[in-house]
This record gives sequence, C-alpha cells and structure tokens, in this order.
Amino acid sequence: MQWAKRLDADAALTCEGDGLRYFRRRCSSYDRRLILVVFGSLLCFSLVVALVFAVLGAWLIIPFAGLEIAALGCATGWARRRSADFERLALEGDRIVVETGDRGLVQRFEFNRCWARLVTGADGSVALRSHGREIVIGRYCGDEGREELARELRSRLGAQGI
Amino acid sequence: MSKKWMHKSAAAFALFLWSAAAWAEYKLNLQLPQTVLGEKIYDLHTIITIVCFVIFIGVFGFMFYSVFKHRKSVGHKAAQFHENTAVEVAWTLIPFLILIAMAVPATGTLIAMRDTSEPDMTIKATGYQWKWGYDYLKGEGEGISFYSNLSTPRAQIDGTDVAGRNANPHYLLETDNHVVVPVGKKVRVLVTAADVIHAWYVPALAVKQDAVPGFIRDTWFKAEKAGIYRGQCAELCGRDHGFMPIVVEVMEPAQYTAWVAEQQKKMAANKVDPNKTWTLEDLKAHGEKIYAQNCVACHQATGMGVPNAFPALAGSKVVLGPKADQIKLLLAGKPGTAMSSFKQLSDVDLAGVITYTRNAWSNKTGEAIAPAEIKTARN
Amino acid sequence: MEAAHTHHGDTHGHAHDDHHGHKPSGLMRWVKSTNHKDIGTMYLWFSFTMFLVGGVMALIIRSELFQPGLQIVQPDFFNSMTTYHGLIMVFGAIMPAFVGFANWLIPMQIGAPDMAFPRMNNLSFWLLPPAALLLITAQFMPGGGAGVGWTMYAPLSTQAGPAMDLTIFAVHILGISSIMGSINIITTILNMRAPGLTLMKMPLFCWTWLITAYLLVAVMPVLAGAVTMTLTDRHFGTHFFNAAGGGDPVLYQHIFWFFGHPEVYIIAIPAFGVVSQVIPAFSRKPLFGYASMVYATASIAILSFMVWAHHMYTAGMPVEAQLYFMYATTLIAVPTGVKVFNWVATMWKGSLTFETPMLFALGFLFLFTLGGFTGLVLSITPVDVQLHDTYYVVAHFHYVMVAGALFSAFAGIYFWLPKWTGKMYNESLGKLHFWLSLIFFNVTFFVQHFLGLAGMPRRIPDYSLQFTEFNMISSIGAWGFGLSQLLFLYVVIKCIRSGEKAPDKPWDGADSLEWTHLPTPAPWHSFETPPVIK
Repeated sequence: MQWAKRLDADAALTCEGDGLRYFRRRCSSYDRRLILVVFGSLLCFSLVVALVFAVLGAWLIIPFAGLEIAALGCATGWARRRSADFERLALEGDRIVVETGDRGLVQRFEFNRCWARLVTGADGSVALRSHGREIVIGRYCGDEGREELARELRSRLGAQGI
Repeated sequence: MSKKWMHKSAAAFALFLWSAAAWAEYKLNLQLPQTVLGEKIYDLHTIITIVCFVIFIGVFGFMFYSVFKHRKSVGHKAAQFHENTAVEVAWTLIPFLILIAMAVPATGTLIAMRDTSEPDMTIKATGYQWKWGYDYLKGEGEGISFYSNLSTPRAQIDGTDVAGRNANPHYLLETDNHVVVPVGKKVRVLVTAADVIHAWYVPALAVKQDAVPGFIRDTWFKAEKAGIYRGQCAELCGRDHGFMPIVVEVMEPAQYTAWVAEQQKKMAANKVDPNKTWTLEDLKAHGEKIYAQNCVACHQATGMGVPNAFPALAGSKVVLGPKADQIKLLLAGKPGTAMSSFKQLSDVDLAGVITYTRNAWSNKTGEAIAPAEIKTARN
Repeated sequence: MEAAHTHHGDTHGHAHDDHHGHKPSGLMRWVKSTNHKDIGTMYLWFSFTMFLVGGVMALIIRSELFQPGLQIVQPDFFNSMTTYHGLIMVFGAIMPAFVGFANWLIPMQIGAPDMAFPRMNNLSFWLLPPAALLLITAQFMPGGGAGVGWTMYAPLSTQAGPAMDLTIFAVHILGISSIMGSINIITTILNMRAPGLTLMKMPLFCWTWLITAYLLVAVMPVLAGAVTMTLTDRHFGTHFFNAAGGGDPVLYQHIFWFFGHPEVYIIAIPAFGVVSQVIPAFSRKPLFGYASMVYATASIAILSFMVWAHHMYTAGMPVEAQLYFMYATTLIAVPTGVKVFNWVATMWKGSLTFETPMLFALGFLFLFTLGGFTGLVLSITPVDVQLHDTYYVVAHFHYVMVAGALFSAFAGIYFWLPKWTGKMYNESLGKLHFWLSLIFFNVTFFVQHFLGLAGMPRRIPDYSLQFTEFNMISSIGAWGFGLSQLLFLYVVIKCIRSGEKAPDKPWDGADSLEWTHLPTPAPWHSFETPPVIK
C-alpha cells in the first residue's frame, strides 16, 4: 500500500494563471523490501545449493547459478530504476521545462512557449513539439489525466499572455 | 484351472470384466509375499490404501453432496462465507495426525528391511547389459559363480512363434541358470553392476535394489517357503532392459546341499587346467560359447552388429588388426559406448572369445590367442 | 540541450513500441510480437502441437504394449519413444501451456499494460521451436533417439549415441527459455500491479505463478548443471558420474531430482491456480480460505526442495536418510490436503453450474486427489521399494500430470476462451470432450495401478503374459484418449471461426480484473491506464 499512497501523494497538476506545474511518477508496485526478500532468498538459496553440490563434486552448477542470479539481478535493477520514472513539467514565463526520469536516466528539455506545439498521435499519445524535437508527455497519468493535461497545456501554449 | 483358457481365448477379454471368478485370477494387488518382511509391507500397503480410500470417500462424499444439492438448477442460492478458522485448523491437524499414525509402522518395517547384518549366506548379483551374474561369496555354496541369461527363445519374442509364446507360462521370466537359495536362511544380496545402472527386483521376496556400477549396495531376504520366484530388472538399462529377468529358486536345505554339490562338480569339470596347451580349434569352440553368453546381444550371432548402434565384428578393423589392441579393448571397454570392460571373464574365456572373433564369419586370421597373453596384458 | 536531440527520438520510439503500438498484421506480427496476448497465444498453440507430437509417441508405446511380444517397434526405438514422450510432454507441452496462460492472464489480472520485458518475452517463446526441433531431429541421428528415459540417468546417458547431445542442447535451450519467462513473470507481478492491488488481493492464479516462477529460478541452474556435466562426461573426459574415474552415478540422480521434484510442482502449482479461478466462478461464491491457499501453495513449494530423494529409495541411501525423506514426503499431504478441502468448501453451499470448465476442474479435483493418494502410498519407503519403477508409479504420475495439470489446462482454456477470442465454444461438444477424456483417461491409467502392483516394471517393450489383459485395456484407453483430443482441436477451431459472440462476462461468478474491467474480446493492450483497486 505504501507505494500507492506515494503515487497519489506527490502526483499533481497545478495551474496558476498562465503558469502550470505537473508532476507524475510511473505507476509501479515496486517495493524495495519485497524485492530484496525475493532476490536475496534466491541468491542465498542458489549459492548454497551450487556450493553444496560443488563440495560433493558437481561444481558445474556454480556458473549456471551465477549467470542466472546475475540475470535476475539485472531485472531487479531494471525494476528499481523503472519505479523511479517520472515526468515533471513546468510552464513559467516563456519557457516550458520538461524533466523526465527514464530507467534512471534523468533528462531535461526546454521549449519556448511561443514555438512549442502540442501534437496528438493517432494512438492517443500526446507530445510537445518544437523545432523538430518531440517529447511524449503524460505517459504515466492515464487517458483521462493525459487529456486534462493536454487541455490545460494547449490553452496556455502559443504567444498568448506575452 | 481356467488360466490357460483365459490366456488363449480372446473372448475372455470381454468376459473377464464381468466374471467374479475371472477377477480372482487377475492380480489386483501386490504379489503374495513369501517373506515375513514382505508380509509386513503387504499389510502396510493394505492399511494405507484403506485409510486413503476412507478419506477419499469422505472428501468426495462432501463434494458430490454439494454437486447434487447445491446446484443452481435446483435453485440453491450461494452462501458467501469464505473462511472458518476452526475448520481450517482441524483439516490441517487431523491429516498430520493420520500421517504420524502411518509413519510409525513404516519406520519399523524400513529399519528391519535395511538390517542386513548377520546373514546366513551372501550372494553378489552383478548387472550386465543384459544379464545377471551371480557369485556365492559366503555360506554354503561359497565359490559358485555363474551368469543368468534370459532363456525365452527369440522366436517367441519377435513373433515367429506366437503359439510357443502363448503356451509359455513364464514368457520373459525364465533364465538358463536360477539363483538357488535354501529356505529359511537369511540371504544377503550384494548388488552391483558392470556397465550402467540396473535394479535387482523380485516382487514376491519384497526386494528391489539398484545395481550401481562402481558401488556395492546390499539388501536381504529370508524366504519362508520353497518355490520359484520371478522378477525383472527394474531400472532402464538400455535396449534389452525388458529382457534380463531374475529367477530365484528357493529349495529345502537338503535339496540345496545337493544342488551345491552338483554345481561344484560341474565347476570342477569346467575348470580349465592352467597348464593346458590350447589349440586354435579348442579356443574357438570355447570362445563360441563365451560369445553366445556375452557378445551376441549386441554384435549378433552373424557378427554383423546392428547398424548405427553396435559395430560389426566381421571385417572389423579392431578384430582384424593387432591382437594387443583387441585384448586391451576387451579388458578396458570403450568409454562412452555400450562396450563395457569384460575383465571379469577368465583368461581362458577372453582368449577363447578373441580367438573366436578372429576366426569366425568372414574373419580368417588363423591366429590363436593364448590365455597367457591375456594374463600378461592384465598386468 | 544537445542531449535532448540525441535522446528524444529514443524516448518517443520507446513509448510507441511498448504502450501505444498498433496491431501489425501478417506473419511478422507473430515473429516480432512483443504483445503478451500474441505471445500467450503462440505458447498455447506450440504446446498443443507438442502435446500431439508427444501423444503420437505415447500411442506408439501403447500400441507396442497392446500384446506381448515385439510387434511394431524394436526395443531401442521403444526406449527412445518413452524418453521423448516424457521430455516433450513435460518441457514442450505442459510447461509452455501454463506459460501461455501466464502471458495471457497475468497482465490482465494485475491491471498492467503488458509483461515487464516484452522483447525478452518474444525471445523466450522463439527459443522453444528450435528446442523442439532438436528433440525431434534426435530421432534421426545415427543409432536413433537416446533411449535413456526422460530422467537421463548416468551412465546410460553418458554412453548413449549422438542423439543425446542434441537432447542436452534442447534441454539447455528450454531451460534458458523458462528462466527468461520466470524472471519476466516475477518482475511483472512484483512491479506492475495496479494501485491498491496488494499481493494478498491478487487472483490466486497470479500467486501460483509467482511461486512457480520462483521455483523455476531456484532449480533451473541445477538441471543445466546436470546435463552439462553429462555432456562433459561424454566428450571432455570429466568423471562427474563415472565411478571408474572417481565420480558417482547416484550423484547425478541427486542433482536431477533436486531439480526434478520441484519441477513436478512447477507443473502442478499453476494448475492449482487455474482451478482456484474456475471453481469459485462456477460456484458463484468466493474462494474458501484464500490466505490458507496462498500459504499452502508456498509450503508445497518449500517442501518440494526437501523431498527429492524419495525418487531414489532403491538407489541405496543410509537408512536415516530414507527415514527423513519418508517423513518429509508424507508431510506434503498436509498442504495438499488443505488445498483440496478448500476447493470442496468453496463448492459447499454454492450455486453450482457445470459448464465445461467446471467439469474439467472437478475432473481435476477428483483425479488429482486420487493421484495424491497413490503418491502418499508411494511416500512410504517400504511400500515404495516394492512399487518403485513399476507401472504403479506410471499410473501415479499420469494421474497427477494428465488428470491434474492437463485437465486443469483444459478447464482454463474453456474458461478463458470467450475472453481471448470474443466467441463462445460449443458447450455440448466441450462437455463431450470432457466425458470422453475422463472415461478414456481412467481406462488407460487406472488399470496400470494393478500392473504395477503385480510387478510390471516400467519402460519395458515386452512383458510376460500375466500382464496382457490390463495392457490391452490400457492401450485401448490410450487410443480413445488420444483421439478425443482431436475433438478438442475441433472445438477450439470452431469457436475461433464461427463461435457465437461472447458477452463481456459469460460466467456469473468470475471476479478477476479481466472479467470485471475489460471488454470481450480483451483489447490488444490490456490496461493502458491502471485500474484502481479498492
């Protein structure tokens, strides 16, 4: 339940005049403790089994156990980074700042409010476009949330207000 | 009485489903045990089966009651309960107690089964692909040693003699040499194998023990009644896994003593004078016998082997090549193939069989291999 | 903002691939598919194909055993058939069938858009056909298939022909596929549940797969190690399992069964999951004892690591070890019993209807329990010593695998077919399929208990005359059972082609997310927006 609360707690779309702030994390049920229990127990179990068999003379289980735990470790790491995915959007003055966290990679994009356009993909996705660059936004807020974000944003884009 | 009629008549197949007398003819349970331990196991199986059956009836009584009474078509409305701690604790604990009650007699029987101490006699059973070898190690009959091959004619198996098969009450369960033991004596059986894993299994004596190459396991039995008890290899061991039966003949002590004397006489007669000079013909004749016992299953009587499985010996490079190589191959076997080591055979046997292969079929080397050459090669 | 230039394309492309892509068409849709439903469908069709291949092998076995003597096949080929029938049914038919269910259902049941690693999912499916091809090609190697039994015991396997190498590679590939599938499932269930869907609110099917995937990850390296050591013993002069070189053939058995016993539950536990969805739905009543079901499943999984040597009572162990394994094995009856009691209690005072999925679930319940009881008989060491490697064991594990796992898979397919295809199957034909399967299954396997009790060893191509009648009955049953499955194929194809349109929720009592939150047929992407679970 913890993650569900967290998800709701800091998700927000606030509009102040012609400014707008939006923040949303990816929906993820990632639970660090649970993952540690699952990964940790498998790690210990595989190691003990591989070592016991190695002592009995069958050492060729070790490399396979190692490879597999490594693969599981990668998946766990992926899950951790993914759970930190977020989208932050700030519309202030003549600038739009978009920050995305994607599998641990945090990126920051800046658009000029006058030039940025909101485009809707055929599949319902929404992207900010300017000078040939395109950033998909509203990935984590669901269809309704995305529509609301697009509506609010569209009404504030362009040269209006300056 | 009606047994023969049963086996012969195809109509019996349909009939026996209905006839109570026929049911009695068919084995619906473990074979009748011939040892005290076997009886314990038999009873254990009966008790557990009954307990299981009673629980089964109970649980599925509830289920079928529900199936008939709580169905929508009779207008039953669904209750919405979904837990009941008392019931759940009860049906966790009660099975646990039943299990403990089952485990107690099982424990005693198991400990008795594994107690191979103080045997009256000891026999070693060795599994080969695909026959059994027996060595009487201790007790009356010490020193007796023989192989035991399937004695059912090939024609009955491959279907050229169906009438013979149908008239054979011991089809696939008969051997050329029986393992003979005295009644009422504790016989310890050391079980091992020469090539792959086999299992020594005689249901009526309640013994089954895997024969593991390179290791010796043991089991024991004490037959209460004279008779012939038949079993089979129980662990998949390759092509002729289904064709290496075990036949144990339990004799009255006096009869057993007579059998031992007879065997010892036979062995003395067969004993080869180490100083004898062997001629090519002698060796070849002796070797043919050894070949028929040990080699024919794979390499075939024609020496042609089985394409893609077992190499032909007729025209073989090894058989026609230097004799030292062939001797080495027989002594060491060829790792990674079905060709296992035959070092358990005597010098004369090996010399004979090598001489035979080098002079049989299309092979005409004209060489005789002296037993002494094998002896040298062994060292 | 140079970084933006280099990265935005990625970000965009990624989003389109995973979440907003549209349904491509043609063959490439399947080859390149990363969609969990397509992959699930492929798994299911693959497993059915393998089921038929393994089934044909079973029919060859049963035809040869119809009467004493060697009529149809020679012993080497017979051994090869028993071996590949086992391998193909276990690794090619039943396991992929439940992975297919997992792919279709887990994302829908936890409110996720897809599996966590869609591309890995694609790869783990496409590893299966080459592995299956290797197993089939093995039949045509010089010397024929490796007649070593699906357990591949050394030293028989270290001496087998070149087919053994293909078999080992196939097992490796299947293992890699299973591992990738399991990691995917674990990651999906742990990370992609909808807000509010705590573990203890998950449908039981997801729970059983979480536990199964855990078991798979835990034991697959052991199998990989075992077959690799067989390979190095064969070709690289090692002596892991060769007594002459200081190894131990029985060590192979310990390793194999340390994998093999959990493997039994890897097959059975998802079957429990399916049945736990079906029985409440047709009882119109919530599953009785949800929490105790979860704990019982977990206990079975844990116990499965501690009982492996009950497959080796005759291999020669110290008596203390035999006693321990006997006690531990009987203990499994407790959590298994809890599950059976819970299912019966779920039906108790319900409002039952008996559509095909429910019939198969009841068939499962009845016959799996029977298999469980023979398992209990076999757990008692002194009795097992009599019955080990006889047809009693063959009957026992077919009750658990066929009447257990396979019937449960049928129940699941009939249950979810409307959701998957949007169409209803023909109920009368479905019921006919059930009754034919039930009757012929018992005709085939019930009599095998008697054969085993009377002492007929397994894996023999010919038998003594006293076993004739029961073998005949069993062979007739096997042909009936095999042919009945063609009816199943017909029912499924008829459903897909010309079934009536299915309502969103054809089963009154179905209550998991795929029924309550998704239209029928389920859309290409399950939950782009996570549903909120109260």
